[in-house]
Amino acid sequence: MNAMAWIGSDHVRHDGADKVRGEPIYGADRTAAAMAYAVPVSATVGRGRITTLETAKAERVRGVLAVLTHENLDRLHPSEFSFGLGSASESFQPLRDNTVAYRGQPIAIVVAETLEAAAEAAALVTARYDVEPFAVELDDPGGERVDQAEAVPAFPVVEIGEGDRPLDQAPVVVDATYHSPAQHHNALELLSTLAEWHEGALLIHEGTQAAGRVRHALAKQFGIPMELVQVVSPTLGGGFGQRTGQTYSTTLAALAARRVDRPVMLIVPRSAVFHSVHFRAATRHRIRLGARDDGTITSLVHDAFAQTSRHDLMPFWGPQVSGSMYGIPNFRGTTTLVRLDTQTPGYMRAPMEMATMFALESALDELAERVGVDPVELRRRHDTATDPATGKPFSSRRLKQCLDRGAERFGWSDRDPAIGSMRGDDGSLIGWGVATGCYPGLASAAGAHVRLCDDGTAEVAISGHEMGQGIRTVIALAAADSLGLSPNNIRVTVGDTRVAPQPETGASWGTASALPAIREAAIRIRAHLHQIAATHGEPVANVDVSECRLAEGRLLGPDNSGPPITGLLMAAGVPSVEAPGQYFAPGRSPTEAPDSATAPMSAVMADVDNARVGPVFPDFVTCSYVAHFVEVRVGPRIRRPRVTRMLSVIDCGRVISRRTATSQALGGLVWGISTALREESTVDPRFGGFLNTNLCDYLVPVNADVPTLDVDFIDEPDPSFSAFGLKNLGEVVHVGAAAAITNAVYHATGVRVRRLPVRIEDLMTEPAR
Amino acid sequence: MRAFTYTRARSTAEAVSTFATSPDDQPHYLSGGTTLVDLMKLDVEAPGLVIDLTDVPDLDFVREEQGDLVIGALTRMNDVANHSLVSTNCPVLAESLLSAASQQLRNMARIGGNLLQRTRCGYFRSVEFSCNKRQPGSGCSAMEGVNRHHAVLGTSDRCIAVYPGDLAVALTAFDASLSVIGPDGTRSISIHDLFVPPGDTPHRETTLEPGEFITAVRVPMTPAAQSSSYQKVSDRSSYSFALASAAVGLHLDAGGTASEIRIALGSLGTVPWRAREAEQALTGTQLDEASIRRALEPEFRSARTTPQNHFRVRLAVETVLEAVATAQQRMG
Repeated sequence: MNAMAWIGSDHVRHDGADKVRGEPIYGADRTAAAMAYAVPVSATVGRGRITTLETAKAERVRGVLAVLTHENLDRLHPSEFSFGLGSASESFQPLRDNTVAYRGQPIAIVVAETLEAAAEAAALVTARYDVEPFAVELDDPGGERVDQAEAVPAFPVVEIGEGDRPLDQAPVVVDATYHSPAQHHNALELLSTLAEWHEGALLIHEGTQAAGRVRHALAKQFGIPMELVQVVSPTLGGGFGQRTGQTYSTTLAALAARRVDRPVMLIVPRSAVFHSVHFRAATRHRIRLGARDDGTITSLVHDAFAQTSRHDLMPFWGPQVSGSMYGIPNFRGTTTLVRLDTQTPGYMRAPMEMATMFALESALDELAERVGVDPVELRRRHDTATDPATGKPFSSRRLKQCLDRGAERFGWSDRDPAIGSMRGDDGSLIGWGVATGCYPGLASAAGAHVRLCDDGTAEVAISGHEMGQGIRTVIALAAADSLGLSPNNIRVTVGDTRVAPQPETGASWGTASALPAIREAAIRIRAHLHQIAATHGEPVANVDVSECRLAEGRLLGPDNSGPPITGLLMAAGVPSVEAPGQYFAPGRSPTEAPDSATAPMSAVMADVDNARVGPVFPDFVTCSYVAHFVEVRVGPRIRRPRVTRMLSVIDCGRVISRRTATSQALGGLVWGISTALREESTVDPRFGGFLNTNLCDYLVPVNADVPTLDVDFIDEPDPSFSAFGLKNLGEVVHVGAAAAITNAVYHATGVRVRRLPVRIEDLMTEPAR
Repeated sequence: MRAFTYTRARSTAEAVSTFATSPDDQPHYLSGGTTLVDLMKLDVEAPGLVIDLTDVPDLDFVREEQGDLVIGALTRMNDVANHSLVSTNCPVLAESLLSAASQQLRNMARIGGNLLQRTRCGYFRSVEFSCNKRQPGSGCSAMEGVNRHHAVLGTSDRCIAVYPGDLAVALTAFDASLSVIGPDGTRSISIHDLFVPPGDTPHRETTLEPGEFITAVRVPMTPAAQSSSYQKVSDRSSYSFALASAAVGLHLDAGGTASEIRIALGSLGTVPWRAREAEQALTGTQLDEASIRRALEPEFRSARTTPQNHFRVRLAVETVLEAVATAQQRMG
């Protein structure tokens, strides 16, 4: 409706100054009068049944208010796994009975006056178990294998062209198997919930990226109307998919608060976070590439294995990713799920794409070497304008531009393809690697409520969660453009079910979903002001409203003249004008969606909460792309790999907020380093659960592990996917980063590491060359 | 964490008498708290009485006495590392301290307590698992478990937990001694006699008697201390325990022959490991890579490795070579 000025700018983070001053309130920062603390007690066997649970000692600790166990817990309606119609991160709900589904699950909750008393008492709860056999590794014979295509029809076997048949005839075949470990989100902010009951109504404060989903789940579980549950999540100390469902810790906090009739804070300890909520499933991928001698790939076969839980089937749709990445005419992709005795795995940044593209991009690197084609060139040659899986064109695909710009900026032409041929001054081996990534264009529904005030400020209450990615900033920039204000004069409320519906913010769709809702509200506000102008005989009212715009605090016509908004409001005798806006992903509008201009706010918002994720476009497919270029160095004596240079070029359509987009991209690359060289949840098959459940043993990079990172954006709009020209960003930046690093490690050392993460010992054996 | 009584001692005598007269079974001294508080939170340690030593005067110093470097036991790790006497005369000490932990931890931890830090064995640190060190006779979960970080030297059938510290490795290379005070008065112990390999009693880690604590560390500043080096290899670049480390000191005579060489290995053994055989083989010789490799071989004859940790034997050799190279550069 008007020229974009703030969108695309490098304006500062909307909440940056607040964060520097320590002002945002994270989940566990909050307190309430007479608040009690709850601490979980964890199961210490891999699977089985509790035979006796000894709580007397714990109850005697001074300050203990209650010990909740399966023997005294209020009955609730079951939780329903989010993959389906439910909202929970898994269907299993601890403490319902004496079942131990996996090591680390809570078997009791101690509530006390202080955190210290609760923790002391929790350590005094003892249990005896009947232990049952369990399995925690993909290849454990106790793991039950499930053919995903049969069990989850939404994810059938992917067949393109002649499937796997041409593989036999291919003169060159790369056949390799790649492994990615389980990973756990370890945001600094622990999972925490403050639950308060007031006259039958439940108020939850917690860092979640799906406040609306938590709200629905709690209402259902407690059997109370949704209106009686509110969930507030203004700021998260890291989401990354971990907090996209309702977790049982929230339910248990609410139960504890009801039991002791006081507000209760439940903070899940770091070690228990490893056994509480979504994590990245361990996966294995057999990739077979059939190619002609010149490197032309004629067929790709991808057989994936992914871990799920005994009680839920969390699908893995890696072959749905690999089949659409390149112009390869024949493809077959299958997935086998393996039921293991852990909590249900789920979403973690690029949940399907990270491991899939590690495998595919490693295999491509192996092929490039086999056929003697430069790895950048090999990828360029297999670019495609249409999605092989659907035959539909991509709305935009600038992968080749990412590769070309990246290669030029990185200096790729100086790369000597011979393994171990490049050396640093200190004798270290230098390797250069490349890999690409993709992520589908997604959007959810969003609802906004915008109020333009007579003091030249505006309030935006909207769907979305701020987890550090910068959604407040993009919202402020978009509102600033639509309302003709400075972003500094816009107040943004996100993550609060009391003021706007709160579907999940995840899968990179936050910006794509929020911005259209703001624009719709702003168009209504403009109409409102235009009407006031007409009532008061302002000349601008003679111009059609669609040709007017809000700018410089005025309602301007095409001739750039018009009355100040404050004057119009004063004339109308109102302090502000307000309007709702809503957005449904294309192809996902409810059939009888109420008109948000006329229907009551609550009706509009309920629809947003229930809308399905999209979009579904009949004629095209949208993906974001990235190309990563990496330099690693490996010491001549101590063969410890270090990333010394990293450049990534990203096609995410139009960049909305350069500041936060850059930051988000950098974060994806840091995590790429972590995935390639550090992160792994270890298991001890004798005991079950996860073993390295602390930040000393679960390695993430330190600053000294991260070199200067460089990111660049193609920054060309995709108007088909979004009226704003944007595509998704948050996940794609992480996809392929690990493969670029392991490909660089190979180039330096000749050691092909097919099992993440790379460890120093992997590089200490001389390669067989 | 269990409830406990906390008291602050104002003098060494008060600390010792408070300990000796405590009705509690296991009173515990506290300095920086970076190990003890951590283990109390994990329920691995549960003292009924904690005696805070940090108000005890005159134990926070770095000075030179008769050619020895003497450091008060309550001196903070960072203060030792950044002291010019240390960085100039004994770089291996400064480097071992600065390679450890984080800035924040080094600002809290005192060097007496640093020497007594407990192993990082995950089975020791989690009360869910059997551990002979934590609960004598209960069994060792690490031997058949995740043991990439566990010891390959000085192990026993009862325990393979590694001694994780860095400073003690440097002190071991340079024959440091410790002043100790306890109910029976003061005494001096060689660093070599402080740490006890697990044997049949992995719960007994040092020769300190109940009620004793370290008051000072004394390091002889031999010619090799000047050109010394600490090299540490970990999975990440900082804030991480070592996969292998080496403290090396070197003095070459005019002809380039090693008149003094000191080598200690860290994070390889159940205790800091002095490579005496290698030192003897190399003293009086011209050092080269092949001779150092050869000299180190006997040190690992007694090594007991697992499929996960056997790479650390070779890594240790490479780490020593790296440390020797740095020390040689410091010879000028």
